[in-house]
Amino acid sequence: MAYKQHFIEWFSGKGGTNRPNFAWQFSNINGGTSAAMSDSIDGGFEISFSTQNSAWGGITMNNTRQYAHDGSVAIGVVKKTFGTGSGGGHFGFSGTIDTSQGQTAALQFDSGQDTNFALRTEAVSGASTASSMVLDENWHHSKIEVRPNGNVEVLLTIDGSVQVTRTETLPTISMQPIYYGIKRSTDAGDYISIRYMECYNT
Amino acid sequence: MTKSIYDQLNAYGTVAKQRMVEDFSGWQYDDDRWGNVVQITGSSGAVSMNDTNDGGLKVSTGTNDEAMLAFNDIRQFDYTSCGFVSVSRTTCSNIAHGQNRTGIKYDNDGTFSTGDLISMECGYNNQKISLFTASATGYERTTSSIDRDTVYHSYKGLISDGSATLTIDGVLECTTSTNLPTKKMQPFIYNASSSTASSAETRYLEVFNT
Repeated sequence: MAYKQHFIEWFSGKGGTNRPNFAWQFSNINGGTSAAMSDSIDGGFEISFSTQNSAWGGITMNNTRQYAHDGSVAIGVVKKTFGTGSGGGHFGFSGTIDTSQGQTAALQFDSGQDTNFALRTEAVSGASTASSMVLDENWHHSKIEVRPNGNVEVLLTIDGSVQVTRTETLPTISMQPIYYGIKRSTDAGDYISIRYMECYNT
Repeated sequence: MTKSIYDQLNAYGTVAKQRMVEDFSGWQYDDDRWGNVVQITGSSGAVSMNDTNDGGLKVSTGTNDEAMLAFNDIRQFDYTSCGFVSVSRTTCSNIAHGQNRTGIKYDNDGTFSTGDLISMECGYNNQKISLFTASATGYERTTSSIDRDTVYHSYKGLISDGSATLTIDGVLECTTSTNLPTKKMQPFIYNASSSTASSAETRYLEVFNT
């Protein structure tokens, strides 16, 4: 079988302006976000939010969509640091870069949307399904698996345990890796972090 | 079946720590990842890709100069439990006039004898390839059985449980628990020249927390 698209990002180094390196574009989707490499042990890359309510942004591949809606995997190590603030992050794949969140298969760890880690899938419209894991501010291993064979299901695995399977409102077009966050309050000092991302077609 | 690199590097479902893999291939080095060359002594330090088979990246200096490449003081690696793997060499017509150190270090500058670092060391007056460790209290040069030379070697440096080791070409050569670093660190490649110009050539560098 021919080698398929496969991508690894270590989120280590000096970092470019608002991006880990040239593979990524910083997408300040609704304003109020900035990004930089973390100068801390195991810190990875951070997307920070201003005090703007509905600050919304992160890193994408500028709508270069190389990952199949019917057979792809995204693996990441992510966390949020929001304290008492409302909001959080989205990790995985998307076919769009806007507030519609269209054509998405992603881990949702956003206290403004759910008290638990959740799997969000979207075609033109979408929904999320909560896992049994309550949101926290620790690092977690996350895997989004878009199963092949007729676009049947999307699986969310957290720390090695399959948490959620969704079979409805699944994406219908090719997708790009995304990591972005949304802030739903006006407090200061909120950010999300990522120190590994791997995406591949199956 | 496609397998993830993640699952090959980590026990299933565990949370991976920071890691960096650099294969130094392309028409230029990744200047979003790496900072500009740091001129420690003189101004002849330069960084370029090496247009030759297996050439990797070259950090070169003219006579009597020192230079290094690092992460502009973005320090993500843990001085208590980290490691590096490099494939590198020193190129110099007289190995006694050139020196390469590659590893993990606190400062993006020429502080070595009282800096915080772990690295391999090859060249200058030290007749043997060595493990070099340092902290604010001083440095330790732990010699291997391998004579200094200008050929590529595989190096693996580790810090764990209060001890540092250097494995060269698959053989554990050096162990020390003296003058280990006490600050978070960044990857670096350093080259120095005395009366003959030289280069440090690196075609692979991996740095990780354990």
